Amino acid sequence: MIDLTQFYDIRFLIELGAFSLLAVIILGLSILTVYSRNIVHSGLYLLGSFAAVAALYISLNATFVGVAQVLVYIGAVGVLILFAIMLTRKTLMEEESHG
Amino acid sequence: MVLSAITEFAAQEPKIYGLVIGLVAAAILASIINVVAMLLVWLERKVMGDFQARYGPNRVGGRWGVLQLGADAVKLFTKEDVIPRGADKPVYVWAPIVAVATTMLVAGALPFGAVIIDGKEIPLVVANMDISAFYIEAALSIMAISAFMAGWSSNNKYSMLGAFRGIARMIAYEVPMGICVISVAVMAHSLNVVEIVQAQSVWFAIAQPLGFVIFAIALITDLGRMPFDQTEAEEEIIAGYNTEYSGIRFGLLYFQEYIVMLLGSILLVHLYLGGWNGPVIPVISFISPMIWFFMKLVIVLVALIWVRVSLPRFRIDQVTDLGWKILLPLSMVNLAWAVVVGLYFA
Repeated sequence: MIDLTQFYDIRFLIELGAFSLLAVIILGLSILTVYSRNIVHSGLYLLGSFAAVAALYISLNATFVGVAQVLVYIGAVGVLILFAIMLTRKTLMEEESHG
Repeated sequence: MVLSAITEFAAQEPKIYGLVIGLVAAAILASIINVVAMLLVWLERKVMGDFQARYGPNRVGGRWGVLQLGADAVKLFTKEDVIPRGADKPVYVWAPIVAVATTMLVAGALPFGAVIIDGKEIPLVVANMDISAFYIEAALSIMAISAFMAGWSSNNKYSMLGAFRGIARMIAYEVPMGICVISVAVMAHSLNVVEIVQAQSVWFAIAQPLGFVIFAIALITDLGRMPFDQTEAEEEIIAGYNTEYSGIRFGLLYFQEYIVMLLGSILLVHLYLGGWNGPVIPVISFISPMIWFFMKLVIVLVALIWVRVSLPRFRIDQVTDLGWKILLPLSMVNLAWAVVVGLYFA
């Protein structure tokens, strides 16, 4: 049973709004990552969803985990993914993006 | 009347009050940083002129050419914004924005000096977190992404080479830089930049000279300044990932370099040169920490410009070799030193 009175509390509404916004961003960017026809765009969408996950951690008062997410996933894994994509053959990508 | 209403609201809703205050402080901070970075462009041109026995900007705006900045800004704003036909437009457009945004992240946790009120030292920092040094390191590590976006989306082989070099260089120097930050944190027993500054009764530049040198080199590399600016080597790759940009987009990328230079110098001052610590000046004790802080900051900035005008550019393989083969093992040695000194002699 949901306690409806808590919806009148402004702090609860702010937290709910922040969580919903982040959830939509994370899900949207993840879906874009999978469905994008351009591999570099996929990589960048993935980084965006990592950043939104970091923001989610921080909104849950887990600051250290959030910052570690930024350092490890965006700063290291993400850059590694982009670097690896950049080393692949450019012609493959050009057919997709610049046709 | 208004003030009492505000304090009442602050007592009732501390979280919302903190949010509003944080947003206001962030807006003020961003404007201050932009103005100071613009002054920095002028300072660099003027000091470089002095080092090279020429005048530097001296025609616009009276004696020291101060208004040259305004002229440059107007030029960048009004210039035609060219987007190459083969470019990947959304990524191309977003790259300068991402560059400035990721740089501004660093500023949130950096203290910009301190003031003394009623004998108490109050640091001027927007977000005083327990882990601010870690946060700054994380924010610095994501700057490579904007370089990649700009270089890849331009659809130009020289831009691409610039992005390659940029990422290779940033990865190579991120590691020793991070280990230096860890050494500082070990010695200060804290990851909070404010507490790191307060822990420096002896400057960490003196307590761990090796770490200071490694951090300074890694910082210059991260900033992409002269001995390490292979990303923009004109003779080899035109202008690196900036090549295709023009107008205000180029302005943002150019400006971002100076913002990073300012923030990096502030970080160096805080971690190794004792931040705003210094003897209290009697008459103006209120702002005496600010005076010490700005003196150190200006010295570091001029030293960076000095290095730029003095040294020739290295090759890119020499740069990555220096990072992985020399600075990384030395930073490990420095970490061991910091652990021994910090835990047994402190």
